[in-house]
Amino acid sequence: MQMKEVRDPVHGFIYLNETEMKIVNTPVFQRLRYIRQLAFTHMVYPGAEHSRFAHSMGVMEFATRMFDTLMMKDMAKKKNWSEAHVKRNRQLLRLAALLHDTGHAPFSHASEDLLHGVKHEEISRRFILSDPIRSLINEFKKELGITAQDVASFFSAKNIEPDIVLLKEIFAGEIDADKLDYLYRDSLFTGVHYGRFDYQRLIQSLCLIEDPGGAGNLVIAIEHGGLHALEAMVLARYFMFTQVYFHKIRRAYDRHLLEFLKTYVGKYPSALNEYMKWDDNVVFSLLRKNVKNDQARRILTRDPFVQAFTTPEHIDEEERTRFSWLQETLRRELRNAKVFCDAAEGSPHKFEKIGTYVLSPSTGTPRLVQNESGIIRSLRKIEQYRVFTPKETKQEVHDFCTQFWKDHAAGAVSAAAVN
Amino acid sequence: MRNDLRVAVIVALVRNAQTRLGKTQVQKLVYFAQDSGIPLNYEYEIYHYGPYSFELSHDLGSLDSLGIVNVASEPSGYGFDISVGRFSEKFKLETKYQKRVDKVLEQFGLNSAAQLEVKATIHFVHSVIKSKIPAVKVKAEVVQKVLALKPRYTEEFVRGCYAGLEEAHWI
Repeated sequence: MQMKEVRDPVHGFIYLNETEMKIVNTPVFQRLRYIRQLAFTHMVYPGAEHSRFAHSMGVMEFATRMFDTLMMKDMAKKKNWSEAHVKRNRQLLRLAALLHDTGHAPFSHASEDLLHGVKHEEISRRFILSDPIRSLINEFKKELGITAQDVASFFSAKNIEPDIVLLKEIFAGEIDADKLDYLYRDSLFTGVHYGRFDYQRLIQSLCLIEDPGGAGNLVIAIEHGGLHALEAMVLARYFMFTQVYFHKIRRAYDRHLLEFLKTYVGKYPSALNEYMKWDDNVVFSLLRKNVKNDQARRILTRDPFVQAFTTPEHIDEEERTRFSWLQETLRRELRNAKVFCDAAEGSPHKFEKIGTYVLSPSTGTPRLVQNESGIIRSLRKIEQYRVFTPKETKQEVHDFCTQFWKDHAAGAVSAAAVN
Repeated sequence: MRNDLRVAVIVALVRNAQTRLGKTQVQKLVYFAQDSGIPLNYEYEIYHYGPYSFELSHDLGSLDSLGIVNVASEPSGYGFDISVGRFSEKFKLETKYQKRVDKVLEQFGLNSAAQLEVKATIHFVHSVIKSKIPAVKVKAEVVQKVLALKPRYTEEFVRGCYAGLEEAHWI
């Protein structure tokens, strides 16, 4: 089968076979050229104009490299896969990785709330099961026994096929092709270098082990030599979260966009042929036509709400409760100031602990990465809350929130009670 | 927006569990709590150790960070040890939900991680295929699918777990 090569800034070249190219050339996949990977992040980091199009091919490339590495380390033997079985599963994984984001709404996660209560993965599943993608995938049926239904199973919570459970881990697990590509690609395009890490070392150190719980499941782990590359990836996620994904201005734009779309669109169409018509360009046209709308004006004239108050990046339950109290009080006491609150938990990208196993250098026995790495052990999930307001009311809201936060701190409240 | 019912159920399970809980046990106990009728709306899919919710995993990370539960790696380095945190006290369940949590703990609280893994997997597979094939074939098909997903468990063990679920009217 003839291969087509595509230049890519992360991978150098990405190679696609004839049928994969036909899939890339469908309107369903071409639409991804017009959906920015990071929504309005380009308003903060001008280089962040990259799209879901290149990312999707990048995930396919990373998934393939991960699969091939695991194959070199006896995955086929451990899974009792024949040569034909290996070929089938490799192609199946490539297709799922390539198509995983086809269901994304305009501006990626920023407008996902308009999807009738489903996630974009469900829309991807529907595209896979519909023509033209369905018929193109079925071209693999004769040679490899792959059907569109097999690929769609990756995106169904009801999948019970064992091979797909394992393959899915390669592109949507603890250390997966999706994360590797978006971290590296987002870092490259934003110019935020914190996101880069030695992904080649990390992939090279992947291995398949029997889980140490004794149940005999095969799980993906890391050889000890890859520990520092894994630490670098975890830190890259941490920094990319704080510097890019949860950036205060980017979050304000996301909010303005969502509010605008709720008013002017309500929900995206359910019918795939209608949904297909929605991309970033269509939304931009709509914003321009409605520039008198306050949300549209704020986006188009670069006048977003600004951050007036933030909690620390890591808070406890007392502080979380205090913030809820602040939120209620703010709305009651400062009625003339427009505000909105934002929480890290509401961000589509989340930073949290991972539970991967790392093989001990001396005995080869697997241990949780938390036991092997002081850096990873010490990291906590980010739980940050913020208050945004127009720049005209920033000082007033800032002063109110800061005073409230100080007056109602756990120690301050008990001291006041004693006095 | 945090779902406080979810938090209260997790805290109740961790607080009242008869044995030490790891992440796998919490995942499966919440799975059965949801199946018992508590509207938690977690989406479960089959992962390493049977039904697993990524959202629940995120929630456990948050609750650990906030001090509502503690998630520590156990000394052996193989798993996690989950206990209630210093801010867990304020989370109480309504009686109707507490009764369901109690029932889940009564049924599954003393099960090993392996038993929970297999029982939850049986239950999940059963729910996926029961409407697709004739009733008389369901048990054999479920056992076969579970053995394909969990090849290291013996058929005897899987059938024993299946029988346990049937006796307790869980399937």
